[in-house]
Amino acid sequence: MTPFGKAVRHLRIEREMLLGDMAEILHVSPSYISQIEMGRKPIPDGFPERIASLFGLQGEASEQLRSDAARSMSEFKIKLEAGASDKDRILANAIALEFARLTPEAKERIQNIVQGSH
Amino acid sequence: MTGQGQPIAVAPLSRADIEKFALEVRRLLGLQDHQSVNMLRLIELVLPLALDGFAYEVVEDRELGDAEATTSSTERLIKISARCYAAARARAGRAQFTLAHELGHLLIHCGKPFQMARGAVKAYANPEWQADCFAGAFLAPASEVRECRSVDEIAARFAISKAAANVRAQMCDLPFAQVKMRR
Repeated sequence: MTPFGKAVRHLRIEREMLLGDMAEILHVSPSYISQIEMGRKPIPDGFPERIASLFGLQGEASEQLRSDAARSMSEFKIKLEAGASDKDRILANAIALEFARLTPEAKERIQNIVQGSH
Repeated sequence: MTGQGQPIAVAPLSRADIEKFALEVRRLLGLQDHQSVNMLRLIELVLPLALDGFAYEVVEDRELGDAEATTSSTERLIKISARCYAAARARAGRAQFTLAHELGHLLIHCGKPFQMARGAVKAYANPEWQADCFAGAFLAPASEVRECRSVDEIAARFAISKAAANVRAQMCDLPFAQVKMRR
């Protein structure tokens, strides 16, 4: 099970909610949620947010779930605005392609820039 | 565990051993002997906290072929087909029994050695027979079944199918048990 799956299961147990109850509320099948929890299907866009809102998670708890989700994912999307410049597109593409080659120091620097931008 | 195909032989257990074990498990899980079990609630809300490394998974029907649910022989993992899950959610007796049967495999056979057998395997050493015994004893403890006055009452009290209730009545030598009824 992935960190995200564990977190979701934990939330369900806390609220005594069955997979089937949760599936009904989210209008999906129990197997769909189960497969995401087990890490057999990638976490769909917006899914952690739907879970957070279903369980009424706010602030830190919702942040935590989002980071559990990030720790469970192996592919990420970078969404650009419709009018994004060529420069932005090329940068996004370079990050996606070259990520594995970045040194720990470079990642650290990027991390600082991203966190600083908040 | 594996279904058809090569017969599997495990360490032999008598029906009495299994009855005793199932009752102990119920009590460890905090169930009173007279209580009926809601297998889904047990699997989803109780076992993940009670059993180290336990996981369950709901999968598309086709992934399990003809099986309604399966249990891994090496990890504490029960896979439940979507249709079995839906039936268990509606508390259908048959699905309850299937899930209790898988719990039997998980507790008795998971991680234990087994042998491929050529030819027939004696019931006592047959993991499917053992898991069935476990399921019946776990869902409907013998001492409580003996208090019932009909197969229907057993089925209703313990949320199991009439066929499974009849097997329990037979096991407990109750006069109203029908000998020929098929499961």
